[in-house]
Amino acid sequence: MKEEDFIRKQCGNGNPFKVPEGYFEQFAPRLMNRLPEKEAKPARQPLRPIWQKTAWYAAAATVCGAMCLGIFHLKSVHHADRQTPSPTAWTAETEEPDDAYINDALDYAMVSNQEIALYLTEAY
Amino acid sequence: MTPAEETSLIKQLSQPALQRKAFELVVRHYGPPLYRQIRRMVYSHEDADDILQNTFIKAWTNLDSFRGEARLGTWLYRIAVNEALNFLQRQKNATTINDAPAAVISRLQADAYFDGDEMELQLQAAIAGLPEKQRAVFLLKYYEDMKYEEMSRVMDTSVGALKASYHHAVKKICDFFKSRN
Repeated sequence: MKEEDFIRKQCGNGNPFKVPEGYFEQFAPRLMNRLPEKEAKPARQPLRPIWQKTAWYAAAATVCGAMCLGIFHLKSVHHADRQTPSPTAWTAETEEPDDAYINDALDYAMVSNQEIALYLTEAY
Repeated sequence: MTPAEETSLIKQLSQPALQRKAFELVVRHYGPPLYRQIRRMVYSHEDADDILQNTFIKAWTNLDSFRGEARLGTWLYRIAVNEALNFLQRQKNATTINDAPAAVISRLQADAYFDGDEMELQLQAAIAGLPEKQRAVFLLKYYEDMKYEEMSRVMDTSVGALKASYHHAVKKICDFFKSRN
């Protein structure tokens, strides 16, 4: 490029900018003293699969659902018994089926009594 | 620095136990050329010193973002040029320093660390009259003889635009000299 040659002929390409004596020798240690310490990266915890996080909530929801169903069923049976009174109403024997209904409801929910007991005592 | 040395240095920079020592080597190696580029852009030694420190501190804190896609020098030049351009922009907004050729000549004449003759003074005055980005392009090409492809990565500008920018800068500087003679 003609114009560039003209400038180089006129001025050259030297460096007229000087630095104080020993500037570059002192610069590196001065800068290194100013550098912040790098924060140690915390070791990454392995991610738990999402089903592990939600399994307990699902189990608790299933148990609660089963219990609600059982109670609802019991109440409806009890209500029906009251509306059609029989001569043998409210004997000890008539109350026996209630436990059976709870057991049936729990069977349908596929949760054993032992599991419920463990869950309620928080030993699970 | 040979490509093999640079590769080894980059590897050390990624290892927490070695990175501080490796970074000191980077500072020692790239400090002088980066200083020259910054100093030619901002003229004052004190300002160049501040900007150079900021450049390396920024490089240190963002070391994790350097993935070795560009050369280490290119990455550092990019930070340095951006720091210098930001400094010039702030200075322009504050209007504390006058970049007009006559003002630059008197500043450089009073600078104990400027050792140029009359022609050098004239050249610096002509360069000072360029827009900041054009000034950076001219300095990288004229003094550092940087390839346009590398400059493109430093300035984040296309090669064609850089060539045009350099051509305009050279022409303006020639016109400046011709108007003075």
